[in-house]
Amino acid sequence: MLVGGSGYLRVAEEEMAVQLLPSGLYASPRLCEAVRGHEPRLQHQLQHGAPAAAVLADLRDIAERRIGTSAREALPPAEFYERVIAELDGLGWSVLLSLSPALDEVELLQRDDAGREHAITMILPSEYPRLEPRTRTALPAPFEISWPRAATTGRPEYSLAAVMSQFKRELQKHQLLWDILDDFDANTWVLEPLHPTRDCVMRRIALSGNCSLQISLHVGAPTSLPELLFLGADRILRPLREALNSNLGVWSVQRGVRENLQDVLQTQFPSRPQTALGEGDAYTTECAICYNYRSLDDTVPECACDACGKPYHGTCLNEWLRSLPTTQQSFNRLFGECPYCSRPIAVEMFADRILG
Amino acid sequence: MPLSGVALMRMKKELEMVYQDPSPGVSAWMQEDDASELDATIEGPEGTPYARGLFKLRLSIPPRYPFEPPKISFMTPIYHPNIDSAGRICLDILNLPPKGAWTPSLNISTLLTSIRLLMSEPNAEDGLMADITHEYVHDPAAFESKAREHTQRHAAPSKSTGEPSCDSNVSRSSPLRDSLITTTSKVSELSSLDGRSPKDDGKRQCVR
Repeated sequence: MLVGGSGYLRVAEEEMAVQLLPSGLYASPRLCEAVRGHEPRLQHQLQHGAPAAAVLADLRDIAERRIGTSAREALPPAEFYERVIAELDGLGWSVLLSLSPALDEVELLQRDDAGREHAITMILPSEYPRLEPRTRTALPAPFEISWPRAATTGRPEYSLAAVMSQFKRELQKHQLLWDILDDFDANTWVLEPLHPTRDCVMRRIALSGNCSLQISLHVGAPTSLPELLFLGADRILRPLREALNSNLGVWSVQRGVRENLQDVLQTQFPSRPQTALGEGDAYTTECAICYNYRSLDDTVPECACDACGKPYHGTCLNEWLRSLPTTQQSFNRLFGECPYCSRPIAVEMFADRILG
Repeated sequence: MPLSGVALMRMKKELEMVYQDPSPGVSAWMQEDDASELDATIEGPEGTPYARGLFKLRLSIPPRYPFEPPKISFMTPIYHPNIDSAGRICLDILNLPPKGAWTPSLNISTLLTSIRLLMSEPNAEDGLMADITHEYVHDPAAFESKAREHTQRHAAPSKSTGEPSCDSNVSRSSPLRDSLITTTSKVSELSSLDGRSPKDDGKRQCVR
């Protein structure tokens, strides 16, 4: 027959109170919750005189299975994956740009009327499609999605297709804006940003005489006069400012912004030179101190740092090292640090230049 | 004094570079046809109290450049622990070794970018303005609101008054009038800086 007793049972790293009495088996609320549904089995064991240790071991096994799994992060139900895959099937897999391994982040491609490509990212909660997905886009204005409502329940129905069709409609709103920006990108020399995203309405373009003009279009009215900021020497910019102030009357919202600006400022915007500086400068032969290939004495960079490979004119390196108190001299050699990588560098001493 | 020799050779290249391949948020150009005096602007970095401000700076290139660093100071007043009321900047790379960390591997573009970085991340360990540094460390909220207010008052691109006015040329009924007003103030913004003299500075020195 059963002997009564009470104690603790260790379940999934947790101590839980349990009491075995002739009147029955008692346990802490958490443990009761964990074994719910298995009571008949335990009762059967007790009634048929199973040893207490075996009953408790069984109890622990049942509880551990339950508590152990609920402690792990809940994965979305299988329907979630089925639903996502089915929706992607419907949209066509060619529009899929990327998909996270857990299928909870989907990046899709949408083309606008002019064939420009736009990406939209949707972050799906594990309760999708019961809960709303979040979206991320690169649009110049915030993009609000209005969800269609189910006829029967009146609850919003979330779907990737609904997002894609609204995204397409949203893209149509900005066609004129992007036409104007593309026109600047193609026909002027855009200095900044280097790789503009579709949400960026600013372009800094080159003017003659090392000046530049920063143009910020209005998202709502792209053909109206944009915000302008002239950057550069005043003596070159003054005539442009004066032209702007006196010719504003000829601005026409029917025409492109670039044409309007050229007419108002009475200037032609230079286009990007074929070989722009800064490109392909992974390989340089110019002296890293004076930035030129030929020195004033008509020498070429004859020294180079052993560590980083930067080339120097001996004269330039001499002049720099001699201005430092840390440089050491041994016979006719100077020992110091490379200005770029700070590793040791040595150079033959030159006599002082007499002229220039 | 106009530049000559190595300094002129290098400045010619640098001006091309800073113009053709600009770093984000900074620009620089010659005042006149003399590469020894440059004007520069720094856009206040986003996410800082200086955001939406345009700060003007003046650079003076020494005859021994690039073996000596240029002298750089803010022309637009700025509320910052490492920049004094005369616009002088406390930054190690603006001084020659052994006191500072200037090397010829730096240039106008990298200096301006470093100054922009200093605006984002003031150096409280090397404060030039003792009061502002103290406030920056112990009462960041008050510092931010003052710096922001300072930026709006002195560095807002659209908030300048001065030349050129264009009212006379455009009729009052022009549909462009509204956008014109903001544009005009932008246009004039570069030419309307407070004429501050470098003499009203505090007598503090950058200690290191």
